[in-house]
Amino acid sequence: MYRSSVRYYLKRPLHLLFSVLGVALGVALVVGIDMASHSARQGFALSTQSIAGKATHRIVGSEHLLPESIYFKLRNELGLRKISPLIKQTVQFKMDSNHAEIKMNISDVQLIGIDPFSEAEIRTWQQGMMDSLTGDGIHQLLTQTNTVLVEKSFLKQHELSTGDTLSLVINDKIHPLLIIGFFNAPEAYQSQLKTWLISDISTVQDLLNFQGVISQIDLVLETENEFQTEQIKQFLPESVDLVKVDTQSKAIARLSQSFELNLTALSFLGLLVAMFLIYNTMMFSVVQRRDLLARMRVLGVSRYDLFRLILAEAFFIALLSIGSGLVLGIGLAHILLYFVTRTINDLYYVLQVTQLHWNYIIVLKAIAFGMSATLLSALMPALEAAYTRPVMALQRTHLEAKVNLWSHRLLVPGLLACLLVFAILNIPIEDKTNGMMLGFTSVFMSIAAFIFLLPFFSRYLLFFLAIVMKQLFKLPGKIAVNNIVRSFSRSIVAIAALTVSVSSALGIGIMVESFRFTVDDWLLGYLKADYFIGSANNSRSSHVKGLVEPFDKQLISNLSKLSGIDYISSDQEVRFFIDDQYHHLTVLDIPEKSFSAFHFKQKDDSSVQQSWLNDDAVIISEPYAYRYGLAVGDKVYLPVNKKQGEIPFKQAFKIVGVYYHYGSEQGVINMSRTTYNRHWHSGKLNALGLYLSNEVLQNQEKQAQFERQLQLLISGRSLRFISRKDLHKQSLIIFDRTFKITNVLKLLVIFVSFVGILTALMAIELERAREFAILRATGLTGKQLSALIYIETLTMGIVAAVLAMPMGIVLAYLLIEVINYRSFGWSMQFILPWNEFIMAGALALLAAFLAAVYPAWHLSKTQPTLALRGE
Amino acid sequence: MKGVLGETDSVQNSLFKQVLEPRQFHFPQDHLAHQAYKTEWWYFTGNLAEDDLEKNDLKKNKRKAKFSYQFTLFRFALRPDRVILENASSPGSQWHTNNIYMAHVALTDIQQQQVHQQERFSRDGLKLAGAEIKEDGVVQFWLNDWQVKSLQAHQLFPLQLDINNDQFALNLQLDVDKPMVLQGNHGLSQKNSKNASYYYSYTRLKSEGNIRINKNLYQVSGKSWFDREWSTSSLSDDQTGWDWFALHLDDGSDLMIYQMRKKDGIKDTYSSGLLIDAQGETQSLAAHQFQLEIKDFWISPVSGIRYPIKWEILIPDNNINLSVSSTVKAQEWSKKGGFSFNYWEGSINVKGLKNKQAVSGTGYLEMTGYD
Repeated sequence: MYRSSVRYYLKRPLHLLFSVLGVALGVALVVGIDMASHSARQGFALSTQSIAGKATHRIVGSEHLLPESIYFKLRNELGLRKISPLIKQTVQFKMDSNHAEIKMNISDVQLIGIDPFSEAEIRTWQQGMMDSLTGDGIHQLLTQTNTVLVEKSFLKQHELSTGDTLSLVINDKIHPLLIIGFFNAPEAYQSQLKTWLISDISTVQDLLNFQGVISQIDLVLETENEFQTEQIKQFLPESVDLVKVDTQSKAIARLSQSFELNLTALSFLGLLVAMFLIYNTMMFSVVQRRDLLARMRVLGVSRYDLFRLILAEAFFIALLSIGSGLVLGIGLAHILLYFVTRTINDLYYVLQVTQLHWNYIIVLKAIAFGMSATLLSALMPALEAAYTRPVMALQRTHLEAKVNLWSHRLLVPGLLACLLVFAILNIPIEDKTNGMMLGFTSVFMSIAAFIFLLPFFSRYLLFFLAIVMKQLFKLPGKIAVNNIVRSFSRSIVAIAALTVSVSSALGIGIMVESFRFTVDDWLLGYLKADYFIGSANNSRSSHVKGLVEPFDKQLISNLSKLSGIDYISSDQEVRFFIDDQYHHLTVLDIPEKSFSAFHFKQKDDSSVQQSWLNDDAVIISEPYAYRYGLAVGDKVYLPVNKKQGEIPFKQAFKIVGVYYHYGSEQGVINMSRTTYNRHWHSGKLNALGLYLSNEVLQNQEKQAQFERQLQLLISGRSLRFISRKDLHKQSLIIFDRTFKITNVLKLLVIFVSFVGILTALMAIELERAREFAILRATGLTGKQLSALIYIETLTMGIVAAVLAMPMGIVLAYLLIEVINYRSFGWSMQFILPWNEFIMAGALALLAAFLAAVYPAWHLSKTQPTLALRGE
Repeated sequence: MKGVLGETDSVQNSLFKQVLEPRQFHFPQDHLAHQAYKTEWWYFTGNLAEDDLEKNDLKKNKRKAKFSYQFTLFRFALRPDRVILENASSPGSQWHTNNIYMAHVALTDIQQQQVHQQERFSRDGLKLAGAEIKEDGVVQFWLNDWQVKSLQAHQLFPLQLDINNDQFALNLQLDVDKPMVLQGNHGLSQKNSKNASYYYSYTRLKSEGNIRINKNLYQVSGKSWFDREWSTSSLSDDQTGWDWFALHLDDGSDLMIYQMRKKDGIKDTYSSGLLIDAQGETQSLAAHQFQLEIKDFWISPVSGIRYPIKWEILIPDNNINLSVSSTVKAQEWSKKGGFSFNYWEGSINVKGLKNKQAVSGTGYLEMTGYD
């Protein structure tokens, strides 16, 4: 019996290939995304570990840098020994011109400044580094500026050796650095450490213009010794915190959690589409062998045996698919990792991952999902086989009659699923992750509902299309549509697969366009100043802000003297680490009229501005409100005005407004300069906004002159300016880049469905070879036959396209109102971009058309006699 | 920290200032770092005893606890030609450094036969370590929170020595009992035909304060010795090491003796000594005027190095015949024990005859080059 299965599949290698390919692609999607996310996480963890070493605690500044005097005090006054300072900054590495053959001649590296004397207590990998130094290497490192140590594989990769010079681009200037030695990173950390350039802290401070400040201090403390931690805390000035290393890195890693969850959901969509494929091929294999199965039944094979036979086949296919899916998935993960890393860098935190990481869980998950998806999809075909009746089996109409019945009966679960979606959406959300999970459940449930309802609507649509096609293509049109109806059990699966993927693509497309529209619209109103000045370093990553204190009073006073300046606004970013979470505070000094940049959720916002300016009040961004369940009238508590030795206390600030803001997924608290100054002293600004008079703005020449003067003023300060228009443009570029990964996945899902519809058509072709042969024999030419095939698939494409439209809208609605809001707390405008609809329609038709090419060509070549002889 | 103290090449070495002729000492400036010379040290050693105990304890016939300590601050200059790059627009990093400071602290519990040791390194950038006069006139030598601070402005003594560790702590006040003495030729101590150092000592310092070992606190007093030395090079190619003795005798006199050992094991003629009587009068001893005889060895279980821990010192011209033995054998610093150098530095007991009178005392012994 099993041998017959083997023979069956060996005779139809293409059939086998498609079954395997479908599930393999689905598995590949799941594995690829899983692996890419895991690698990103792992990369982050490794870089945290390699930086933290044995450190249990870390001292960090709310402005990303902290005064080096803290280190002096802790070491020389408090007498802490296991403590080391660190500067870490992403800079660009430029290949020398003699290595010009390497195309990517600029890449990111981490410039790390250490104090070699305090390293051994914290980090262990540096031990080898010191050993690699020969002669007076350590002397050079300490006493000669611009000397670095690099990881050994870095040398190899760039064909460099000790004694060579490498160039770094820092603040738009090229700095040559002498490589005086190397270190061998432990294997686990190698992918992280190979982009690290280690230098003495003095060199790094001078290179980066970081005099007086460091990035962090790592400490080894007895975790249970609360007296000690309290003692240290009292040494720390305002806005400098002692945090536990693991809670801090967890808090950072948590930033990208929603993003990763969204990716995972997308991968399951791929798997879902893949399930159609396996269903399709298994069902086809059953239907094709009806007579064989019927004969087996006559020979006494039990229903149970047949059921088992089909599931065993499915199991075998699953094995093959999972194997190839894993291989494909690894390939995919390589591509996705690039996008994931870039998005995380754009939006969340500095991350460099070039190496894929995997673990058994990823593989087990892939096996579990691949296997259950395959077996689940094969369940129906297996039941079908089991209930094959010896006589009835030979009549196909039996199956079709059943499908007919089903299409009506499926209405019930379909409608029930719809109700369920509503019910799920109305479950009150208590936990954010649960809320997201429920959101995703509602998305998948609504897809299920659609699938259930699909046969019913397709039938009526086909009924209508039969008339249209007959009008358009005469008899072939009618035959084509009838063919679909007659083989409905298979064609509906192809249609469903296509519909689900096209509607997903459409839904995602609408969501992205709506999001983009919203952000575009928001930027238009939000960016008020005519020019912005910010740190030149912060273009690569929004995480590293306010590196230096370049906005001294002199600069601001010089700026205000520029002709045409109406107002200089300022922005300070402050970060608090409260209850193991980062809270971002934006401190603004803006002209009164610019307050209109904020659009509030509440209807009555007349008193907001006054409170914001004068009271202990803040406004918070929508995602912040969502994340912490806050609303107007609630309070936020921030640690304030801590003098040395004093126990910090928390000041309450009343929330007077919740405003739309798409700049930060984490959300921000927004405070006026005057309020901030009442409680804190630090005035390190991160950005300035320049408001120009109309006179300058309306005169191109004057504006150009203004820009020249501005450039002159800020040159040499590692600052750069950008016009409102360019900032707007750049923000959208980053936005688009963020959704590149979505587009890649969208295309993959569509590809899976394309394979799906192709298999379905191949199945139809194979099965009806005899039928077509009769048609050929009765006078239909090859060309007419292929036209028939094209009409048939196009009709299926039309059905899918038409049904995908409402489904796409519903999905977009769920993505925007449920998923996005629950993941990020952003509410968006809902727009229906016509181009997305046209694209979706075209996609469905194109997929259908392409899928028809091979069958049409093949059938038109077939000799009718050959096909008939097969009987 | 392997490599940190690696030898700079001889070309670089020659750019440091050499000790060639006696100098005029100026204080307190000469207590501070001499940046033009390559190496320099501040060397405190002392023997302490627990102060008189409560009467109850006496009844129980409890013996007084005895301790000895060593605090040494070394400075190693990195480059003689060092030019700190000054950036016109910015003041430059405070972390720039041209000196590595190393400190060794040892506390020996003689009764318990236990030795507690700590080694630290630091750069002098950011003022993490150094030897300076502060703005308020306080003379200070420090490496992180291990600090020596003068208690009066512009003069070193009296001073406060504060060493705090998890394991043990030393908080002592030291004051002069005898004036400073210049070693060698008016403070120039010739180590071989080419090399010399500037060398002066405070041989007898009243010492009192507290020490803590783990959680036990002791009030102590005793005598300390402070050596100051700086140079650019010390050993010649045929010299392997030295044996250095600093003795406080109970007749009020002090004795310093060192011998430079050559590779063939013979005492170098550049060895010398200094006898300081109770009034502070000094008498130099040339190499031929004293003999050092080894009476016993101890083999370190940690390093495997064999150190002579029992000696006989003979100064025939002065009728001095002293027997010296270590209070605790394991007062060794070794690379295998996790430190940067191999040497033996520890307290000793002295017994013998001086002018046919029985004499005893305490002191410190340093031995290098036995590995």
